[in-house]
Amino acid sequence: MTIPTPAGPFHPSSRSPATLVAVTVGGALGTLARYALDLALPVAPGHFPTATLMINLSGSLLIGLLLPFALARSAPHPLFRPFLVTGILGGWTTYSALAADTATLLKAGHLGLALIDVGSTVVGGLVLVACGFYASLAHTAVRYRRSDGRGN
Amino acid sequence: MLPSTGHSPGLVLAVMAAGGAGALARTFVNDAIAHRVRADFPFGILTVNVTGSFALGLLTGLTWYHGLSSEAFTIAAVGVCGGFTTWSTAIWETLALLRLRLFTQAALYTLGGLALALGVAAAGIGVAALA
Repeated sequence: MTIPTPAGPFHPSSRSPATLVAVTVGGALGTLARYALDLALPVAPGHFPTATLMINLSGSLLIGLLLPFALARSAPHPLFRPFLVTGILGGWTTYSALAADTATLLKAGHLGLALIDVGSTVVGGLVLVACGFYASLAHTAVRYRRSDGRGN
Repeated sequence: MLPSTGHSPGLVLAVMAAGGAGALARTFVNDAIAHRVRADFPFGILTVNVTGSFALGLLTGLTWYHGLSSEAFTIAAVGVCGGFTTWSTAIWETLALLRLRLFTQAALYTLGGLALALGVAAAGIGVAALA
């Protein structure tokens, strides 16, 4: 991990149609899976959002495991990252539900539950993304540059 | 968060399409910002997550105070907002900042970002209550 490189692969015009399709299809599938878990573990407003916590913690582990392979010297398929990471994991995990659930919990007076939710998402997520990252690092020659940190 | 409604095939397809569109929009917004703002700080995903949190707060308030239908809420909230915003990339960025030893930025991004998202989500609910 060395040098910052400007813009790099993130120039807006650098996305191929295939990449955009991969992001969209992956996003639809990740969203479907999240919707299914939301329906399987319904949470009444003002109660602890177990499904979203499980979704975001699993997504933290998975991005840690997968993204190093996308950054590896021997790059995988060019659609690996847009489909699996930007699409599926991006569609699977959610930030807005975390924020709105927390706002709802606070409004219902459940400060403790709100703190547990945010705290376990942040601390658990950080531990899991690091576990995934270092586990994958052991199996791939990562060419990690500063700009690559931009996970999307 | 989710109202327990039936899940007709049409609703499931609409949620999927909305999620795909949200993910695509996330890519465009993130790319556009990352291209213009050449900083280590991940402004792109932060912008996506904060604006998506405001939108979800607004939708939540519209459901509470204005009787937004559960189908419309599900498509817009679970689909669009859920597909648009992302936690996995956010926590990856936190790890990336920590690995670069940019500790202040990591804390600002993670805790400040969450506080901001929480604030705008509450503001969205409040706007809906006033409207």
